Amino acid sequence: MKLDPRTTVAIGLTLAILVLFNISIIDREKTISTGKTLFLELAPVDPRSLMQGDYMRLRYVVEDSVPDGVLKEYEKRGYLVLRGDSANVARFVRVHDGESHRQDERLVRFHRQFGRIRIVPDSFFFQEGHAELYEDAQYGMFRFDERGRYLLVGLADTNRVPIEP
Amino acid sequence: MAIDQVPANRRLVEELYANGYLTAAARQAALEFLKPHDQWSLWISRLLLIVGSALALSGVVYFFAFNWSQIPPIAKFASIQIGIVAAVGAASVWGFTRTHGQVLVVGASVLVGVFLAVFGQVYQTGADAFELFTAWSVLILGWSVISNFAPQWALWLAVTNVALGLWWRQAALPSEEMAFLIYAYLALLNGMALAVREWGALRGVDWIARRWTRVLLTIATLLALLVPASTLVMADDPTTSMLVAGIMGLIGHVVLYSAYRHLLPDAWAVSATVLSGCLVLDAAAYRILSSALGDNTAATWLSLGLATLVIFATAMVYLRSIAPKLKAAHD
Repeated sequence: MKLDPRTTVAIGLTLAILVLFNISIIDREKTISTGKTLFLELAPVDPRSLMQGDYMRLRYVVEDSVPDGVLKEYEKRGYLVLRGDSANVARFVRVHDGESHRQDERLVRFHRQFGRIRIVPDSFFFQEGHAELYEDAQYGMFRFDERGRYLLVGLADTNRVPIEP
Repeated sequence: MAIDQVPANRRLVEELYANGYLTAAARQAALEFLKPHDQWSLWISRLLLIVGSALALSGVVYFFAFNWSQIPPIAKFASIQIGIVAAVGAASVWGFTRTHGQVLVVGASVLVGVFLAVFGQVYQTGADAFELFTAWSVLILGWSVISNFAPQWALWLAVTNVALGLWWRQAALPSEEMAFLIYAYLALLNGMALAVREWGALRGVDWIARRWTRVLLTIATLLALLVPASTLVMADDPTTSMLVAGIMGLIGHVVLYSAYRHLLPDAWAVSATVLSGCLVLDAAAYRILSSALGDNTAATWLSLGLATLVIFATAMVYLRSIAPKLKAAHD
């Protein structure tokens, strides 16, 4: 069967999309399976819902530990250096300034708008109707792999036990 | 007017019949000639194809939303990818230039968005929704280019608009001074799409010349012009971006008006532009009246009501006066 050029291009594009999709999946799975866990304590927030299902907006306690005046007015994004204490709960160390960091220090990306620091991801998605399960969440559970990439993998209760639906 | 210059249409036939110049059989024959009786079946089959595809796709979306934690991630990802392969596969069998194939590519494009949304939820990357929409826009651009299908481009443009808006809020992080510049970007994006549409239509590209594409793009462009223009006329102390986007909004209205009044006469597009301009004028009236009448809110709102009546009534009278000319030019 001979394909016309339009069909060939369309199939090529589709293959490229699928390859990209699956590379991204394998990448994230690797971070989850090999990564080390760090807990970020949550500040109280309201669960909110959006059209695509339910999600919870997150704020992290560590966002407020950045001392005033460390960041200049124009610095709108950057990395915070965090380190886990004995219970693996993240503590603020400093704002990253391009320097190399210690093995046990982790970099998390933040945005800053109207003077407020926001660590991303700042939302957690769950199935419609599971809101009350997550109401008492105390920690955001992150996994960091050796390349420094990280994912929010779940929420945990006061004893740092992951909340499972 | 010579007889061969009188346009034949349903109204003319009905008028001739009502006045007794045509018999019932002649009227039937004339109408059959003007609008073949099987035209509706083509129309209904197109409509059902589109409604059916939309319902099937939203079914897929809701299925995932509702069974979120019961389905393991791997099953979610696999089933969406199988859906994409099936849609593109069927489209290549039918042919990408035929309506069935084109609708299937739109379906595949929506599934790419579904995949990205599911990906964002499984790996909790939801905060950066702009990345999702940007990826979606980039990934389906190739299909759009080869689709020659206006609904596919409409989907692409909608996704790109959202991507641009979210990027502005989540990644560009503009200062208050610059925040309004997004409307200038959105107006440029949609205005350029409208310009491409008109260019294509003039060069005889059939699929882009459908009437609804002009309607959709004019509305999108006008919205991006109207918001900053009316904000600017109401602002006491406008920021730099309000000035830039607002002035662009005002000029944009004039450009659209002259384009559809003189270059490509179109009564609908002129009316839409004039009515949007009326809203800007109304905002200006509010500003003038509220500063003139100060604390007297009752008087402000009463006179604003009257001003609104005058503005829109004048616009209506004007539009009615130019409508015949535009219609003649259009025919």
